[in-house]
Amino acid sequence: MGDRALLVGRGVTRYFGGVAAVTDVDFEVREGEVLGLIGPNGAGKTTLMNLISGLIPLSKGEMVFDGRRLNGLGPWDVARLGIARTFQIVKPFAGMTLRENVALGAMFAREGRGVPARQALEVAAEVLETVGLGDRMNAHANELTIALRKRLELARALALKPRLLLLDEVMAGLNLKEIERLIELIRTINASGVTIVVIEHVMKAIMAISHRIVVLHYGRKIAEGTPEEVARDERVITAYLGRRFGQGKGA
Amino acid sequence: MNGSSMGRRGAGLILGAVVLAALVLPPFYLSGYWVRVITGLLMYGALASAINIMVGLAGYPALGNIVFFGTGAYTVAVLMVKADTPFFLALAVAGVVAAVYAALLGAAVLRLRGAYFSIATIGINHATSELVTNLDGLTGGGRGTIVPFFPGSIEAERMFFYFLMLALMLLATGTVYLISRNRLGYGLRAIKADEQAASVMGVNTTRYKVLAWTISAGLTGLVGGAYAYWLAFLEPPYVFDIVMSVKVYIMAILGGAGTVIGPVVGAFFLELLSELIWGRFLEAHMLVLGIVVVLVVLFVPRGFVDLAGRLARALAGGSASRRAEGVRSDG
Ligand SMILES: Nc1ncnc2c1ncn2[C@@H]1O[C@H](COP(=O)(O)OP(=O)(O)OP(=O)(O)O)[C@@H](O)[C@H]1O
Ligand SMILES: [Mg+2]
Repeated sequence: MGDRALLVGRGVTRYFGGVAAVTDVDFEVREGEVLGLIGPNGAGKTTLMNLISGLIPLSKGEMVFDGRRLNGLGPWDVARLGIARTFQIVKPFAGMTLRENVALGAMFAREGRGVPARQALEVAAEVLETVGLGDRMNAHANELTIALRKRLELARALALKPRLLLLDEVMAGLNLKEIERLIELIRTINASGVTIVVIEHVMKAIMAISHRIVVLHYGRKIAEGTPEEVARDERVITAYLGRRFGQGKGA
Repeated sequence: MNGSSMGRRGAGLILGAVVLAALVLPPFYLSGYWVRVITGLLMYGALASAINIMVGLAGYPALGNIVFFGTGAYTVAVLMVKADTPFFLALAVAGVVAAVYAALLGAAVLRLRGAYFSIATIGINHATSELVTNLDGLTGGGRGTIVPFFPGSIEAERMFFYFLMLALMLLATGTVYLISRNRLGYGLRAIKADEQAASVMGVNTTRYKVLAWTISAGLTGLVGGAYAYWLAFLEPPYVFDIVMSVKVYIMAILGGAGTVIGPVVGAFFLELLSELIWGRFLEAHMLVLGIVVVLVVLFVPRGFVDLAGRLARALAGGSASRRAEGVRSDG
């Protein structure tokens, strides 16, 4: 893991009507790291992820990914630059098999590297294998348990061959064993060279996998540092951890 | 395994030959009346396939898609009447005009979804019909316009329009087949399932939706252009007919929106039904249509093709497939 910043946000701000969901946040995601993003419900974590992936435009500020300004790009442009994501509320493509769900990522992958449909189906089979869904390729998403749907989200994002992967609460609703397996999987993906931003309420997990953590509270960044630093931070304990750290699995 | 795939290929070839014969032979054997009826079936098959690209693949209920039929029809009429353009050239222009019209409208209208999109397309159809009516110097307005007659015998004319509509139906259905096997088709199905998820997976949703509508409109415009020449007399209400549009929409759903062959099956079924039964109950046309809609929604929500598939699976697999069905509907 180097110190080079892959994604930089400066003064990132987003209003919904008069309400500020994210206010003046400066952040950087360093090449090769796993960056944890934590904060209470409604802190603006998902909104920040939506801003990065281009689903909603910035109200103020700017973001630069590997030297390219993201402002004004559509979500498809951002995806093709190499930023993939999962959704907090899973959004599988109904009416498609798991294989087709994942093939879509390969078809529309990074600039110039998207492949024709038939080839993409082969790539999809490999990706499903790596997330442990290889034996369910021809099932439909709605036949899956929530844990497996989360894996499908992950597989789909991986099929884009991203440089930066944004994970929004992929562990919510999973049991301890499933969480452990997912942590392993995330570590493997990171080890293969993918930079990762993880939003998670499961404290043990986020402390275990993050190299650094950014804490949001009411849309503002209130702390940043290694897991140890953040866990000791007074503001973080008052705003967030005090209520939940040590409660086992958290929310 | 090799043997069985050879066998399947053989069966496919035979089936293909039978279908081809069933499509090509009728005009040589059937009466003029039936040739005309089947020409109508082919036309509706083409229209249902064209709307399928929007409704079945992209999931956009383009209820007013008939606007491109009318646009195509009037393009042919005006070009042939005012500029002595040969029919096939006029027809090609009609396809292009309809496609460009959709491309221009698309960027604005395709921001809307579901019922809002639907209503917008109906509004566009109405507005376009009004426009055509008011440009009476060019279009003949509300009085209508006569399109030059087909130069040839009645038999030749019958053959000509039969094979013209057949070609257009094959073109439309073949287009759906090609789209659904390629990136465009996957992208559209992703848009239908979840537009946000599609966009972060790299699908340029705006471009794909506009492209789908452009193709759908181009095909619809071609069919409209052919219809103008066939009918030989046009009035705006004939070709910007929202009832016809709804009918085509129902055909696509009935047969199986999103499948390649379903909309054609739905078109043949509904149009034959109308020919055999509705002809005697002209007054009750809308009532019967309404009843069909309700029955479709209740009993074949995914269309004939899906129904046939399920029946086949039920017959072949027995309880095993039923269990699988049960699991799926739990989700
Ligand atoms: N599309 C939207 N329109 C209006 N307000 C929104 C929208 N999206 C988010 N918000 C508001 O912005 C604030 C931040 O929401 P966000 O979903 O980013 O929080 P979060 O940190 O992801 O919370 P959680 O942990 O519950 O997922 C909340 O007050 C939320 O109600
Ligand atoms: Mg959230």
